[in-house]
Amino acid sequence: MKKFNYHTPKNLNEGYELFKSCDFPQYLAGGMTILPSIKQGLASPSDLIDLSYINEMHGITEHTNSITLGGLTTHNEVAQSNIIINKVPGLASLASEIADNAVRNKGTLGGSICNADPAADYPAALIALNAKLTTNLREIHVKDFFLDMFETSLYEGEILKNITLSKVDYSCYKKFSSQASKYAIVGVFTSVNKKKVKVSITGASNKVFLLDELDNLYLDKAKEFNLDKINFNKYDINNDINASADYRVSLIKSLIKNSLKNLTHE
Amino acid sequence: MNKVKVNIKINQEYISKAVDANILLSDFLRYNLKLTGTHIGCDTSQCGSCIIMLDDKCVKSCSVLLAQCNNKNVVTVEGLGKIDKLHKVQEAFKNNHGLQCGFCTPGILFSALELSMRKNQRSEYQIRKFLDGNFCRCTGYHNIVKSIKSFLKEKDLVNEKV
Repeated sequence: MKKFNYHTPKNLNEGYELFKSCDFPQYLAGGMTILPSIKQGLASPSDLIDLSYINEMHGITEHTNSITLGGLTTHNEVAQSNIIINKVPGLASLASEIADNAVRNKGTLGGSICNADPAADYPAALIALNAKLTTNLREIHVKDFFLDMFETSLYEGEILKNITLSKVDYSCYKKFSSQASKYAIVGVFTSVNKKKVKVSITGASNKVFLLDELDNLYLDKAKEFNLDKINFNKYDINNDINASADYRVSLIKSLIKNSLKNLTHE
Repeated sequence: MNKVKVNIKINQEYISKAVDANILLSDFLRYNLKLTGTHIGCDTSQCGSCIIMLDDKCVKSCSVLLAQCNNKNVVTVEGLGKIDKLHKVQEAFKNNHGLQCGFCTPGILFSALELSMRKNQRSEYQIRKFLDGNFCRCTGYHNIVKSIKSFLKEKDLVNEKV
């Protein structure tokens, strides 16, 4: 493995200052993507800045209308948190299906989000739950965060501190994943709040997207909506070794139908 | 490259050492400590042969830096049981023919142990799902699942008595 320096800043500012002082630094959260990448020679940072000692990036807090999760919350912590299980069950089930158990013990919410893999699961939840991302410098609404494949609106060295999600009446995540990697070929996150629907889709395009056609429809209208009427060309659906664009569109439609099917009007 | 000071407990033994930052936990276990029971079965962090317990949680030691393990507790298969006094999970694998070549076994033993700490995950479907990330290239999953079932059953019985 290539050589690099290793740092353990104790707070956000120290981490940020370290980043600015190094040649080609990268932050290390759980390391479930960056370390395999370094091993394979796909990344070669001069310095790894381990964020895990920054206390304010840990933990899950419940507020009246929202929930805040520290960037360093692991997938298993998300999946097993009583707050998440009770208030946003769709997110708990999403986290419990990421990769495998050993990865879920180490990989983090913030790490996954900042990596912005187009087939990652969390982005779908963030869009459908109206997430607000807080960094060491500012607040970013999720709709301005994911720019393209592996590209976010974070500045050089900016650190994602925590993520705040809206509580909703109902949430659900369904995905069809690659058997080898468990990454989503198509993942659909559905949230319903005050009877209004939001559906977001990951894995299908270069970045996560909100399905405009169903956005803010009342649940009964969304259930009746003819999904065949949607022109998916505008969403730039991927055509690759895992699945053709047509197949992905078909998956999107069936996963949405499955998600809405069991919902009642309550 | 800076050296990193690491205090780590491995199989009940304390080690304090200044190490290179780029040493993987798996390499340290195998090459420095000669604990070769932790296997490397792939180069892509997918196979699960290198899974060990880090602070009571399964992690892939091939994807963790030794430097990240400061003040942490590691258990490898060498710390589980001894030839003449196997751990209950090892006994279950022995009794149920839960291994063929045995290469994936150390990792699977730890997955079985973590599963045993979770209540309400006892069905065959849940066991098989939990084994995502543990590859048995002999494809001996049937007896692996059987072994884990028998281990969980015995463990739950003991817990009930206590």
